[in-house]
Amino acid sequence: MAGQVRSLGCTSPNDRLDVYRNAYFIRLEAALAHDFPVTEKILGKKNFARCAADYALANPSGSPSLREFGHRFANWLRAEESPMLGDLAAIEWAALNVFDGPDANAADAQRLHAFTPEEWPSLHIRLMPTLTLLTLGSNADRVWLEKGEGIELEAAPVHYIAIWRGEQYRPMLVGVDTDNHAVLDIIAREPELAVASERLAEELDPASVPRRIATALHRALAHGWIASIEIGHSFADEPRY
Amino acid sequence: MSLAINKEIVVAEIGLGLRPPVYADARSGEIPVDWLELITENFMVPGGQPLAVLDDVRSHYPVAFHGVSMNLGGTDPLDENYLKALNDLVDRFEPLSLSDHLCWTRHGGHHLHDLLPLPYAEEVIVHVADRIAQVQDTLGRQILIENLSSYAEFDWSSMKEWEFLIAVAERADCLLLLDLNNIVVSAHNHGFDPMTYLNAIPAERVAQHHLAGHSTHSALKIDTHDHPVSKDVWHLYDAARTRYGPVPVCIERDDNIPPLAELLEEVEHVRQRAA
Ligand SMILES: [Fe+2]
Repeated sequence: MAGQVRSLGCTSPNDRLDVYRNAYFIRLEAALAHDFPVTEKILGKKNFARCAADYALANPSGSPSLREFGHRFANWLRAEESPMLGDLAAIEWAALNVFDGPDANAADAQRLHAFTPEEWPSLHIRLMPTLTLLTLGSNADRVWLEKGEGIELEAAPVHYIAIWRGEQYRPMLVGVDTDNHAVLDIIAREPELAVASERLAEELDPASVPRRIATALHRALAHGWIASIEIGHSFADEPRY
Repeated sequence: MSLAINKEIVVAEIGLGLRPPVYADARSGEIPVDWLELITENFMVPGGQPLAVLDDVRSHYPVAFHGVSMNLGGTDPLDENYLKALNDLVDRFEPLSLSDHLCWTRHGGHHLHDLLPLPYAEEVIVHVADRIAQVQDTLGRQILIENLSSYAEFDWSSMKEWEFLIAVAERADCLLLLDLNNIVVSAHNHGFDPMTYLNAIPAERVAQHHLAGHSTHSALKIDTHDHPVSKDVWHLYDAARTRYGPVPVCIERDDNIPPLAELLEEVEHVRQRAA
């Protein structure tokens, strides 16, 4: 490339190209630091910059917006650095989705009372588009809540969390117990309740499935994690986010 | 296509970059400017706070859309999804103007998030102008293209930057966003006289100016937008007023952003010069 650059004055073609080279990495690192501030705090500026540069080399930006640049960062950290850092970055990525993800109104907390037990199998449930369920093997949730101040990132027993949009687009985080997580995790992929029930019955005591589903849905409604519950609603007609 | 621009912009004399530190004041309509300029890509999001901010801002001010990733000069095909997202934003927020840069920003599907200079050559004029025309056809309106700050020039360029800019604008029938800081920066880096540039540009194409600050690293000036507008740029602005008459001006500041009062001093400088 330097061979195609005009020489002028005391700045060599290489020095001129260096302005672009340096700016490329500085800009991408700044974008990641903006989107993953707690991960940066835990890693330290120097280590974070090294990770950002390695990530940038392995994952060139494929979007016109820098906002999308970090979409593989959590997985990359999980694979290349540590699963704990992957946990933390995944929380920060979910928080970013809370900030500028799709808008939706939460269903009324009493929504389930509108249906008879016979109608339940035909219900379709759409979770809030900015709700993220995560499985953690570290205390990344505590670290994130403390903004990385005065706490070490360390391994922890497997547990589940939900991150969702609160007032003023603030990210909210709460622990989710194993049962509720199992139900919501399946509903996220299988919005039709009859199908979700079948899947759950493959893993759990089938007799307990209706009760577990009812408990999980009531909790989710109370938190505002459900956008809609409708009978036999065709999702093909819904706008895709 | 005629050289008409949305009438609102003719009276919208002074604008300021809409950046997070001024969101709160912009949402309540308390910034004494005529319009605000936003980086379009920052609002190409599905929902949430950015669009809520923009709804509020738009209830108080006209806005100008300024893009950085249209890749008008590149060889990758124009990004239809990008243009669709832009069109959706245009429908929702009805901007005064749409602008992007005379540069390439993407290659082989990879976005560089930088404004890279083009070789200034006949065949490139045709290439870029045809892409600009394609964008204008898709969006159904004229766009503004902005001159760059650059640090390197291709050896096979066969004309001056301003000759290239004019030729592209004429062939595409688009308007110009003349960034006076970028002229000062590039003039220093490539050894030309900013006045030669200014005097060459036909006034009827000039629809907007940017004023911004830069920094100096070793022998090069760098377009960092992290300093107040420099003396050289104010001088060039005075010359531009003489040459082009009143043209809407936007103060750009992207880094090291001072308190609003300090930015407004620069807005006031523009007003005083315009008076
Ligand atoms: Fe500019």
